[in-house]
Amino acid sequence: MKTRAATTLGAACALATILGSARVFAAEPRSPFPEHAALDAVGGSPAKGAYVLSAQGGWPFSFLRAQVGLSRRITLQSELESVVGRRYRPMLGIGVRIADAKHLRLTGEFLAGWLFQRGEEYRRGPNGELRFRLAIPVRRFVPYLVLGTRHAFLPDLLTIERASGTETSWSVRHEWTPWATLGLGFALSRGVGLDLGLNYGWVGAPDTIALPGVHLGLHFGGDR
Amino acid sequence: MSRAVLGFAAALAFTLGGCINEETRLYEIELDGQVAVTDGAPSAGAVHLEFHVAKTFGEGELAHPLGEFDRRTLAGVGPVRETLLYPLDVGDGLVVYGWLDSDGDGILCAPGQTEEPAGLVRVRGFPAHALSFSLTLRTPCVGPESLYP
Repeated sequence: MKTRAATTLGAACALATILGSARVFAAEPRSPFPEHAALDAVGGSPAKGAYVLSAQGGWPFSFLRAQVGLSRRITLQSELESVVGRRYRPMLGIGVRIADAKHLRLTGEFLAGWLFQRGEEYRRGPNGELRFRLAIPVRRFVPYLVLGTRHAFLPDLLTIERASGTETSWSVRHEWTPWATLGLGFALSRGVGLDLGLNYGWVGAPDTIALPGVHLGLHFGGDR
Repeated sequence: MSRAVLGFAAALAFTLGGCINEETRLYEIELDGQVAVTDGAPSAGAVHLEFHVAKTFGEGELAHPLGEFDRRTLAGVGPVRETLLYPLDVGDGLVVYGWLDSDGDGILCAPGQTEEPAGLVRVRGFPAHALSFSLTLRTPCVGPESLYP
């Protein structure tokens, strides 16, 4: 009995969702939204007072990101990246809307934070990233490209015990990660969007090999 | 020194202390020794020395004897004085292995070539910053793993 009631309730919810989505699509114009969550998320740099919250899950990279428009061109953003639950990068940064047109948005972003990696290869240290986002909104779709360069600085400690005493010295290794994402955003409504992207993050380049990845993102925005 | 400078120094120390990726600890050893061959054996040629930890840290099969951490080449048999930096986090004990490069080809006993004598000694008294050893090269064509443990 309980099973039948739950099945009926689930079917009702699914039907309501489909009908609700249909109503949303029917109520909105076919022309592109001037600004929407999917565009702000994948193209970066929401307008002044607007915000967008993003959750992108995938393999091996996953992201949580928040962006708030401080002015017409400047955005404050915070980001947490996870790589299969072993490597984390909490970051804080600024986004700048470099170019903006009906079918184009170009944004530059600079972020700084800290790298934490546990497991067999232990890494942590300050981390920075410079990246550019190019988005081309066409109706509800937003094809986009992200190109970035990431730099982590990993301090090592050397201690030498001599007969005359102990000497300590520091050295810093540099870890470079060139980054590229090619994806497609889609606006379910002005406030809700999706994206699917292919990631190419080459951690420790050029001494390692890079594994391509994929992510699916859900974005919420508002206050436009 | 002002409080601000002290505070900055403390913050810097805290930050650096919390971000060590690899910590390497080395122990300096002044090693005095004598390398010789058995009486009557040819003694011409360079001597190649390898310095090993006697036992590598690890659990199960990872805890194996020997682990080379440095090597030197001497002009010939005779007295030796070398300064070594011993990796404290790799293993325990100090072993010196050497062989005489009689034919000067840099290879221990290549096929068809002269038999070259080798030898190994575990240095007593480790750990200490000043150690001494005496190594006699008496066994032809053997590597360190055949002589130790």
